[in-house]
This record gives sequence, C-alpha cells and structure tokens, in this order.
Amino acid sequence: MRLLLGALRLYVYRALWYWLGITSAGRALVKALGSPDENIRSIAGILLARSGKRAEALLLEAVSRRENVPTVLTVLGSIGDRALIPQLRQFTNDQNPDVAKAAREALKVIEFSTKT
Amino acid sequence: MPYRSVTKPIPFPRAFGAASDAAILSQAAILLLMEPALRRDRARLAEHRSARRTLKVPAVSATGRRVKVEEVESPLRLRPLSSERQALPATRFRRLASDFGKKPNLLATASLMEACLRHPHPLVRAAAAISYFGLTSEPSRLIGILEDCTHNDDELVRTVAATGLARLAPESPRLLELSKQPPRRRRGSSTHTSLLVHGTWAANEQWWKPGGNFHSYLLNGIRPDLYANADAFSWSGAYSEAARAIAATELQTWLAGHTIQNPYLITHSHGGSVAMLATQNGLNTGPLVLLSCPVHSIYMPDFSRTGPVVSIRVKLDLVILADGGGQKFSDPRITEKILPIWFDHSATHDPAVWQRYHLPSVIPP
Repeated sequence: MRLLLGALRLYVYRALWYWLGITSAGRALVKALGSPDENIRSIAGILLARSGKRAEALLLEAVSRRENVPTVLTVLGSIGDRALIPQLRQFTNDQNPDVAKAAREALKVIEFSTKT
Repeated sequence: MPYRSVTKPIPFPRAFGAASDAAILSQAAILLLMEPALRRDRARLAEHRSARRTLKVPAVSATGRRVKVEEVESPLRLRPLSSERQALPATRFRRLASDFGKKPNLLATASLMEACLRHPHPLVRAAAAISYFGLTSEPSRLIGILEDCTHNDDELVRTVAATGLARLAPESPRLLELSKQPPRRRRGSSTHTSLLVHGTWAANEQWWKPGGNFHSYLLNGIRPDLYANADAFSWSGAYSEAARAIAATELQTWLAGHTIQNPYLITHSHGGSVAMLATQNGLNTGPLVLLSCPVHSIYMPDFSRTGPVVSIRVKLDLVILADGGGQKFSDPRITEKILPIWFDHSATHDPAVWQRYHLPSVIPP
C-alpha cells in the first residue's frame, strides 16, 4: 500500500508541476530520483523523461545542487535535447566516476537520437 | 561450510554473546549494518532501516574523526594485528557489545570492531574489517585480513571478503588472482555463459553487479556460469528508444569482445527490451529470462535466434504502468509466470522472492 501511495503522490506532483506550473511539485519529483525505493526512483525518472524539454530546467537545477547527479544526467540524456550537450560535457571529467560515466552515456544517447 | 538457515536473527547486543550459526551471521550483519552510519550514507541507512531495527543495530553518530589504533589496542590489551593471531574469549565480545550498547560513541564502536578483527570466526573478522575501514586511523592493516579471508573454505566468507576488497582496495593483487580463476560450471548444466542485463535507471544499482545481492544469489547455485568479472556488461540505463538501440549494439559488441556465444540472458525491465532488440539485430542467445519486462510491440525477440523465453512478473507493475508498456506478453512462445505480488517492479530481482516462489525451477536449465 505504501508503494501505491508513493507512486500516486508522484503522479500528483507531476500534474501539479506540469499542468499548473507549481515548481515545488516538480522539485519534489526530481528529489524522488534519490528515493531509497527503486520503484519510486524509476517512476519519477519515467515521468520526468516523458515530460521532455519542460523538465530540463528542474533537472539542471538539481545538477547544480549536485543532487542525485548520475540519475539526473541519465534523465537529461533520455530527453535527448542537443542543446544540453555543452552542460553535459562539463561532467564528463567529473571526479565522481559514476557522474562522469553517466554524462558520457547521456551524450552518446543524445548524439544517437539526433542522428536517427 | 553451510550455515543453518536463520529464521530469527539475534539482535544486538545478544548476538555477541553466542557462537551459534545464527549468532555469527547476526554479528556479521550487525557490523556491516553499522558501516553506512559511519560513512553517513543516508541512502543506505534508509535502505536498511528495517534490518537495522530487527537487529537493533545501535545508532552511531559519525563525526568523520578516525580513532587511533593505540586508543583502543592498549586499554583492551590487544596485541597488534601484525603479531601472532590473538584469540579472544567470547566473553570479551559480549562485554564490549554490552558497553557499546550502553554508550554508543565512536570509541566504543572502534573498541568492538578492533576486537572483532581478532574474532575466532572469519566471517565476523571480514565484516569488522569492512566496517572499521573508515573509522580506524590505520585502515591499511585491514586489507590483509580481507585478503586472508578470501582463501577461506567457507564460500560466504570468501564472497564477503572479496566484495569488501573490491570496494576498499580495488588495487589488491588478490582480486586479480580471484578474477583469473576458471569459471565454475554446474554439473550437467549447459555450456552457456549467463549474463545479467539491468534495466532503466539501474546502471548504478548494486544488485546486478558482481557482489550485488541478486548477482550473488544467482551465482551461488542457480547459475554458477554467471559472468562475474568486474567489467560486467552495463548500458546507459536511459529511458529512450535511442538508448536501448545503442545498448543492443553494445551488448553484441561486448559479447563478441568476450567471445561469448549463445549467452543465457537474465534481464530486468527494459534490459529485456535491449536483449530482444539485439536478437532482432542478429544476436543468437540461449534461454532468455525477462523479469518485469514492459511489453512493447517493437521489442519482441527473434525467436529463431533465442532459446526458450520466460517472462516473470508481478501483478499491475507500477513502473510498467508509468512506462505505458503492456503488463503481459500475448505471444504463446513466451512462457509467463505471474507472481502473487502486486505493484513491485523490483520484486523480481529480489533473492527472497526467488526463494519463496521457487523461481529457479521456473527458468530454463
């Protein structure tokens, strides 16, 4: 039941942010990327990736706060926006190898998306 | 050395006063569960909240300070680790645990851990070495203990020690030796090499990596041919068709680079989509196990290139719901096993679920 409620909460956050423009709800959705529950992390990631470019500002804000950086970079890669390439490049030599790897993988996905 | 199944772990501090299998396993678990607190790793603390509560693991407030070896060795009259191994009586551990329970500060933590490095049971020594690494002023002393434990006859001791070494001293030459050991094959099993393929957002998860809980569970009995070197296949875990297309190509390249043919693939979530796409691109596989795999018409296996395909899932998977994929394959060539579990996408890679629902008998041999 806790999982169901947690998932429903994410859909509410997404609706409040996406349809009503409530940024704090969007931030809560981004924060859920660091949830200890794998289900919650996955659903939050999917909802953000499916929101496309509208999620970019929130995600970049999280990156600047160094919040769940590898996952946030993976979500940015999933969105596939070429305009993000310069920001992602900055992380390819990050001290944290997980961050650097996530940035490289995200760049690869974006470059492939735009080619195809 | 198999352990008796533990149905009721022994909580702190009582575990340290006994020498039964349950007590030894509980002591090791308690020591390992103390480590995230010492590292101030909130995510791991949250992940293990329930286990910490069951085992009554004392809360330690880490300050980042390392405790000097002499601060604990002298008062406890412990001989340095470099000298001949000192066997401590069980009463010492009970007393130290009791003292620690009454006053859970860093010095008491260090005292218990320093003593446990001299514990008669190697599992407790290995667990103490892992947890104490970030707290003692001389962590390099502990690498020798872990290396020593990787030679132990007990598989659990070897696995715990090797996992600790891989994390704390990845440059250890002992790890290189271990990775060069010939792969073990199960008697009468196929000659496939098995491979775990993770799903979306899971590139940094531990469960599928060598040493991770699901990987270890499969390796130790279910699929002894599971690929277990540090360069295990991984993909971006991004949520897009492009990411899966890249991953399918990378999977083929990785297998070719490792000269692995017809791998037995165990996949989770969109890892299954990646594997199925790879078969469409010409990859030949052995059996294909799909765990919680979302159903999308573009991701179907080329059945002429795969062995038996089995899908294991839960009821109304919430992550698949968010993904928009179907919950069940309709192709009769895919055997479906639906577990009596609701919503939980990660349940299918949980060793406890595999044991409870006898899933080893559901997957192809």
